[in-house]
Amino acid sequence: MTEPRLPDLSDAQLLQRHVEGDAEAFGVLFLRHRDRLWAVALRTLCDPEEAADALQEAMISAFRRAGDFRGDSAVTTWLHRIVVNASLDRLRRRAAHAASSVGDEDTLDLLATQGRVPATTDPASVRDTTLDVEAALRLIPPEQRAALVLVDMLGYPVADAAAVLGISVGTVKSRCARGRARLLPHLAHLRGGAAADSGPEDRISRNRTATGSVSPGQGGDE
Amino acid sequence: MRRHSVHADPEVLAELSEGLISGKRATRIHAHLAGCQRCARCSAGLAEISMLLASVPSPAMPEAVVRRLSTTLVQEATSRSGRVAAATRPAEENLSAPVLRFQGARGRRRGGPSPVAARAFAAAAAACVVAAGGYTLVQLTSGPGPGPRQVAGGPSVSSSPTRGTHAIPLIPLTPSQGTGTSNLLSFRVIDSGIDYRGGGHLGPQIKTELDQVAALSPAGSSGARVLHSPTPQQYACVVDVTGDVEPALVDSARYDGRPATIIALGHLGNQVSQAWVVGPSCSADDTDILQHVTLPAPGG
Repeated sequence: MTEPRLPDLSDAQLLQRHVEGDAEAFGVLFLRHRDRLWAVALRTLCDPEEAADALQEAMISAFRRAGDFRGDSAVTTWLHRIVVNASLDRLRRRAAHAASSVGDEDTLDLLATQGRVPATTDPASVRDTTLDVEAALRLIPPEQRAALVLVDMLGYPVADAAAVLGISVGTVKSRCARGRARLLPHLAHLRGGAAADSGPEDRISRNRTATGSVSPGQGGDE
Repeated sequence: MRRHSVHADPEVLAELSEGLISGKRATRIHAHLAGCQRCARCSAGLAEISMLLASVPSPAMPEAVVRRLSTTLVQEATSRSGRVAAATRPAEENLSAPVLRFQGARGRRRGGPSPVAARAFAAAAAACVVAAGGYTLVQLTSGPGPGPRQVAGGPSVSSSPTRGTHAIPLIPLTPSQGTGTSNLLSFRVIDSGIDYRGGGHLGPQIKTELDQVAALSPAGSSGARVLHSPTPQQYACVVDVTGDVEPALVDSARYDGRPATIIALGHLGNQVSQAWVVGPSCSADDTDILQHVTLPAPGG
């Protein structure tokens, strides 16, 4: 009886083969899921070079830590988790660096807190939905972005996203909700301007106004 | 001035739609929505944001990144096997070998592979890019797409492979100027005139040609096969494609009827190797890779 070819093995079988010393198994596993992992890193980091670096770190980490995988989640979930964590770690390092070096051009997260569209946005590309979405994604906190990337952009079930992010389903929903609300004014022009009049001056500000008939949201994780 | 009502915060509406708000509070918001067009539009807009995000296509991993990460994994595999080998052969570990460096993990790597490991590199490299057994083609984008140096800038690679050995090509990760490489390659080009074919024919065709070139006399010609020096563009192309590794075959030929150059690394011992088909515009700036193929080990 011939041994099955690596591409015919399941993710879990490939990982097991890797742990047992097979030099090729992890490469097959990586190639099988590369596009999804790339999408996660790219959309989370908003920068192809950073995404490549993060993926490299993540794959090395996964390669070395494969023996720690206990099978309590899908291999893909485990891989995604490592990629997301590597991406968020890079963003945190970048934010720390930006905060300590005023004037550094790499201050996306600072911009996020200020709610401004980056000055580098090219007016000529405003009509391009993808570019606009990418630019808007830069403006929201990384944790919210990661949740939206998994749930809205890649279509993962909320439960799967929760497993990837290592948080509860409710927290995923909360991050997605807040992220969408933050994106709304930046992307209103792409959806006919229905949200254009949802300016902050007319809203009940969360946790600030007590006079409205609609109370501010509660809970969450941010 | 009297305001129509106090509108709901989009965040609250978003949480409502996610089912995160319930009870009396949810009832109040729903009641408000029923009578407030503005908040109703806002709520609809939030749903559209989800659809908008879903409509953005997910890009495939660029070929340059695939190669870079495959190379990284190969090096990891080599390191792993090298550590096993080191237990029985602790000497001669300081010889030159490819060293991959990258941002972020710098300083955490355990050093480059040993010479033994480097020799295992080629086999594992191909294995990483390829399904086990036989020839496997990887269809790559053609045309003016970004080359490795354009996509994967930032980290850097230094390589100093031993001349004459064909280790895995290390992908240049740092944009470099022109063809300025410290490692001068020595190779010649043949104009076989062969029309290489895609599908399952490519690997065997390249293998056959590799064997013929290997049998050529050092003088550089044998029968219809005439070797000549590469043009500057060919040289830059080969350096870029192989990542500074000396090729065993550079054939200015045709591929599926169109002009193309076949670049192949030689087999080292009993190991697999790899080859590329590049288009006429292959240069230091754009590899113009049309196909990548892994060549099974001799007799494998």
